[in-house]
Amino acid sequence: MSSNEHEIDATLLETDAIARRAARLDASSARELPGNPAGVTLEDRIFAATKDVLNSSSPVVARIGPGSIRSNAMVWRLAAAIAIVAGLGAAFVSLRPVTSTTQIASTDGNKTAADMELVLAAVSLLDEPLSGNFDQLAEDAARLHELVTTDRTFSTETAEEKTKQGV
Amino acid sequence: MNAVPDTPKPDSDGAEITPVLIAASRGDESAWRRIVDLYARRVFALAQARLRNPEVAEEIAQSVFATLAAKLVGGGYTERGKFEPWLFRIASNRIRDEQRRNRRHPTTHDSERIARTEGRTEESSAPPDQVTRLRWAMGQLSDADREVIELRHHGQMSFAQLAEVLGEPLGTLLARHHRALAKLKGLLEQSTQPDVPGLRAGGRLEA
Repeated sequence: MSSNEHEIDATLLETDAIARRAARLDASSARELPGNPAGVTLEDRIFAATKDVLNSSSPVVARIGPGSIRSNAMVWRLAAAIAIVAGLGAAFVSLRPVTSTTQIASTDGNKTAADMELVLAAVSLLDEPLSGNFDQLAEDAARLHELVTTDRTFSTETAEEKTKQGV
Repeated sequence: MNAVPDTPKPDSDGAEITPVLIAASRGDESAWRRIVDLYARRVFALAQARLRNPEVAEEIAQSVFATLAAKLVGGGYTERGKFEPWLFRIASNRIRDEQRRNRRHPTTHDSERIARTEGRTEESSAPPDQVTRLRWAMGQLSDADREVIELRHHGQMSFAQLAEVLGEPLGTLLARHHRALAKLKGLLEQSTQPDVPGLRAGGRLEA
């Protein structure tokens, strides 16, 4: 740096000089590490850490002291975070309340046949002309209601009842 | 190195750096050692000014020189007599990355580091409180103003090189530097007042 290449305002020269002194202090604050195998001075250590890069035909990762430790720590922290998230996800999936599955169709053949009879009875009831016979209609409705609200099915009705209904 | 100029160009230390760069790019360790000796401390000082941590500053300097070596042997640098601006652009970018990382993951309090390193100020011819106040004042400047002053003094760069690094016309750069120094002067005057926030009595930085 050539200090006189451009004039600095005279009132700012002192500030400039203080800044220069602070810079020298910062430069001299590099650590001296006697006995350090990588080198005593800053220059020794940087040279030792980078000379292999110079002689390598393929890319070489320089040996950088504290940084590599910090990078490893960051990688481990990231891995730990991923593991925690994955663990929590697995725990949520396994512990969430399972909704009961509704059995759409019964596998019980008797029950299916009974249901079908009930449907047929309802259809026949609705299909019959009303013909002003309200008593018959009321009786059929009561019978159908009984079939729906009890376990008794159409097939379990007595022959007398079936005859009476004309089925 | 892809291209070599016809005539070697002197660099800031007066040495002809181009032949040294050529030799280093061919794997000459003594040439590489010379480059490290010439520039390592300047890169370190720049990082130390911004980060206030000698260990991290050294790490940054190592990283910059590893990049430099890889680019020299790998043909990633074309010699046009602008080696220093190129080097300090790499360094500035690396330092900015570190600062961004620190903002995301703050570790040790910066002022603790500063207070720790203040013990070394006795080595300086400047009164300790003056340098401490200067660091406080630098901390009050905008990043852009700080960058100009630090590259100028810590990087020991000429204004022409600074203009190259920052990608600005020389006149603009000179005006920027003047304004930054004027702000710094005002802050230094302010720092002598009692009860300045961030400064204790006697010029010590508050932790």
